Amino acid sequence: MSIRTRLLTGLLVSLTFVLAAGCVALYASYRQTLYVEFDRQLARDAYHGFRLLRAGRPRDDQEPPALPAGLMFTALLDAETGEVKRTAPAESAIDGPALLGEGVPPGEPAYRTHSSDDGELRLMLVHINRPRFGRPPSQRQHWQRWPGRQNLRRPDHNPTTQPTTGPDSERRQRFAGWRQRLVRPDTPPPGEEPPPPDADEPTGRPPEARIEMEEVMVAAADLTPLHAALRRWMLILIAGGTLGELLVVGVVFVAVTRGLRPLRRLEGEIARIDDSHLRHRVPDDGLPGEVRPIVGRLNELLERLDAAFERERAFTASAAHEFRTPLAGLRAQIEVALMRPRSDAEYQATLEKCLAGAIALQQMVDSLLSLASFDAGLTRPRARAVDVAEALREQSARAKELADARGCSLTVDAPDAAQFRVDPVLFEHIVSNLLTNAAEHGDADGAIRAKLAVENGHLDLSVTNPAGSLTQNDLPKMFDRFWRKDESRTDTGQHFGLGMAIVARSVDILDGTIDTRLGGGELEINVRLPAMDGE
Amino acid sequence: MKVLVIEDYPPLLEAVCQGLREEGYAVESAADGEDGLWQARNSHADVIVLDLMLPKLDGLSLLTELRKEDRSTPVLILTARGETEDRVKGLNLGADDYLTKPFAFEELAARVGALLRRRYDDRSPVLAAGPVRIDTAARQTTLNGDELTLTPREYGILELLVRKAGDVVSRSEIWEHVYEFETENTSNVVDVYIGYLRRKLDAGGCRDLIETVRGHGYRIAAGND
Repeated sequence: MSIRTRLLTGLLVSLTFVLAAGCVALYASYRQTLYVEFDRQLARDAYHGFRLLRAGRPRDDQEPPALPAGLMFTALLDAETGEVKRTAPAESAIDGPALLGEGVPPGEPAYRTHSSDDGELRLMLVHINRPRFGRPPSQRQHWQRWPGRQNLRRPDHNPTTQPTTGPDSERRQRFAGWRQRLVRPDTPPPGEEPPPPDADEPTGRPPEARIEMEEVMVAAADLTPLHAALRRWMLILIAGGTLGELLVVGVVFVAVTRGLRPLRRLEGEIARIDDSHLRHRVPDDGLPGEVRPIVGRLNELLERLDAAFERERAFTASAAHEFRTPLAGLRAQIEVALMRPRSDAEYQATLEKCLAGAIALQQMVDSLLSLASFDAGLTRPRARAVDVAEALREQSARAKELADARGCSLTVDAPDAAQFRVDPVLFEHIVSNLLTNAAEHGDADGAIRAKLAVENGHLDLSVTNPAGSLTQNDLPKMFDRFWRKDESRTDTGQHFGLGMAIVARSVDILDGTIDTRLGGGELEINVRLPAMDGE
Repeated sequence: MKVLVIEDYPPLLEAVCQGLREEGYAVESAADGEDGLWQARNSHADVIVLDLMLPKLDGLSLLTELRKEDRSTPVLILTARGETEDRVKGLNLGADDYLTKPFAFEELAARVGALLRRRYDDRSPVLAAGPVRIDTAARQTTLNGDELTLTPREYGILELLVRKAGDVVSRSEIWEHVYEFETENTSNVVDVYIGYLRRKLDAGGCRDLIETVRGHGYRIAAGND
């Protein structure tokens, strides 16, 4: 999964969650506000509606006062039976008992009103401000209980009792109503509804003797506009949320794509690097801070790879070069010999020269193979108890021939016998190459000294020879492959600059150390080997 | 014609010198750069065969030094490194040709011959003066169409005379181009070989082809038949 996909997915999920939660909160608060406002308005409207009902029927020459616009109807019900006493508009068919519901304990006054002196009923504002609201029951429920509120049932189970719903049977209403106990003078005002069943008190009662009656007033307002507003609001929220999310995702997509562009460039830069372009370094300018350390490490890796490849190339080039010259010699000797018929003696001389060349080549191949097997880790040192002093004397006897040829003396300082656990083959490599190097490359007519000591589980071998032409700068290069002081093959054509490299690798395999010192025109090479364990 | 071979690997130096001598060249040799430079300055070589990797003074420095001294002797570079860079560097420094080791001796000889022709402004490998024709590539000499068998030294002298046909070639010039340092320089040696040459030319029916210019040297008349 790409970084971009991950970022975008995470962002999309969290954004969707946040937006959804925000939308739900907005919707809920808006809904709450709408309902509160609706209920306030319903309470106000109901108040006017009830006053209208109270006012009684207008005279014929009077225009009937208009019901407040928000109300669908208002009705006055008998508190006991639910009988509809009066409605406005007058023609509203209302199922009073159904509307009253069963949850109203009969005869229990909810609020008490006081009659005024002029006998006109007045509703106290406190009632109006705290109306009981009912919500229309759902399709499955005939009525719904609102905790702590008066139950008023909407009789929508009976289509005939829904005069205000019209063709839209789904129309929702919200009711406000309350039960009140009326205390009024025994003389009902003219044109009022017939006295309630419990108002059959004798007339002419003193003002203190009041007729109490209970009635339930119900007003209904249409919820459709509120629902429509809520639906619109919901649509706005959904559309706005979706658009917002798309916008944010788009912006983030572009931003992430741009942000990742340096990575793509980086990819291109890295793709350019192959074994022939290891010199190339990945530029880290313009890269994000998080990627820079990676590029830094990558460049370091390239540096090391380049160095390794460079060594490899140099080695291969040197190896090729080193083979070319002896091969050229061999070939020229043979070709020149074949140019014309020659005497047997001439042929023999040529063959001998060719043989020497072939042997030199073979030695070089052997040395290279040894180094290659060292490098490949194919050479596993095998510990044997070796008389290293004897081995040194043996090798120095061979080197003496070479030393004599150049007028050098060779002295060995070693104990009569010294047993040491070491790989005999590698030890021989070390000793013979060190001595040969001293004999062939040390100053002519110089004194070569080899010294060997074994103590405390260590072997110390030092070879010293005069080397006037060497400088301090040569010391680090001395163990490089094909290194020669002056690129010279003038002597016998048998030196390929591999001997000291073999010494270095052999010592390395035996976990030993080499120390070279140049002072007073003398080169001193000290090799220290630890005794091997095992076998 | 004299070739100077500067090469530090003894078997190769030996073989190349022997081969070139047998091809009829006078050959000088040097095994390191310093010696090589000295010989290049003093041996009157017609062509120098130069190895690049040399002790004491490397081939490219030697070449630079030579060209600085305005010596135009053609130089053929022998290099063990086949890299273009080295060859280009050598050619830019004034080398005339190069060969990568290992090489076929025949090719070396052919390239040396080509450089010699260039030195004497001959485009064709065939030289001619009067009845004498020398195919320098095949090292074949004909006299009036008949093959003339010559020793390498005789061939070298005749080739020099024919190359400079019409001009008088002094004994010392002949000696410088045909003999090596180790030979003792006496005009008598040149005269002896001129005598051998004349005898062979006379036998082929061309009397007095090589003219003696008293006090100066020898001359072959120019002009083709």
